Amino acid sequence: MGEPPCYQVPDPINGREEAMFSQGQLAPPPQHYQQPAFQADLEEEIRRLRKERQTLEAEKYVHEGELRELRKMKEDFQRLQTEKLSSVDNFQPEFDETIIQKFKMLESSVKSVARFISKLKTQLGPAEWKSALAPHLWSAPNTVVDMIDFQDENLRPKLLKSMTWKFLQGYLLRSPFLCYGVQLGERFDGLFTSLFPEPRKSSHVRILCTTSHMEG
Amino acid sequence: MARLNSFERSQDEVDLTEFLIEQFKILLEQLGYEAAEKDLRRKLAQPLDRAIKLAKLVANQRAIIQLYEPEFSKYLERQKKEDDSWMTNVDSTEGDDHEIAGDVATPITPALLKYGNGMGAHLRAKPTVLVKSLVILMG
Repeated sequence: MGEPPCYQVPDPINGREEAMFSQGQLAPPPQHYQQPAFQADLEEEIRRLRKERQTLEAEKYVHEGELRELRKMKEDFQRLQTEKLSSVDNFQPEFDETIIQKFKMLESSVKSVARFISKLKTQLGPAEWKSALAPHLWSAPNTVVDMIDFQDENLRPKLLKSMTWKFLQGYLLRSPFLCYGVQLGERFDGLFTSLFPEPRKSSHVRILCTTSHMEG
Repeated sequence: MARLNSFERSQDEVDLTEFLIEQFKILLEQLGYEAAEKDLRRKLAQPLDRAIKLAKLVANQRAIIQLYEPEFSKYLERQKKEDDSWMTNVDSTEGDDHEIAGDVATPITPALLKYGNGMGAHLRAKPTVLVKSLVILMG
């Protein structure tokens, strides 16, 4: 094994033109280029550029350090934020059984209202009463409504129950905001509906829901 | 939202109850009924209170819990099965009937559906039927 060949790497500023000139890639410099005055100016410019480069490299080193510091601060902040939010978000969902129980209790009350109404005497005739009640039942084609015997004494409380449920659905239960008051609820409901026409398909709904609980 | 939840029988809730009573009176008038004011208020007090409480309970869940407003076309397409997972013809408060298959005349009580789990995940998944819709069958 002999000594590895030693390549002289030309100086990027000083040696580049000389190397190219020696390799025949560059024409000989013109006469005025070799004049001492120009030479001195160039060397001065090279020194200035070298100094500037050193200054920029030093600044780059400082900025890289600052960037590392900022990255670390960001990571620390995100970690602390996650820890803090996880302790603030103490939401506990209600058991299904509780919700079902409340629904059943309401169902029982609705039935009581329907019985109360069915004992009242209506001033409308059978046909008028049927026409008046039909739009307040759950949606059903006229052909099906025509097949229902509205004068059936056993059926009447059930139809009035259907009407009462639809009333509660329309004025209160169809939206999560209507229970917070007439004006406020309708305003929120309008805003929410325009923002999220299909709430289940929007991930923002979950974020809204989560943050609203966390504010408490 | 949390601030809104903090009240119990606030002025907003009183106003809401009053609004619902007035709307229900209008509905009864359309049907030709004349109920004594005092009797009507007494009869509506409990259901409206329970309805508002249920609405608030449901509104505070991250799962989306909805009354299923039946689309009648679906009922026409399929009859109620004896072991139907969405509908029942048995009124639990009556307890004098048994599940049968048949054509649906009209729904009486809406179904109560829950979309997603308790923490609000999987909202697009198939809903859980918490309470079946009570329906009247033809004939």
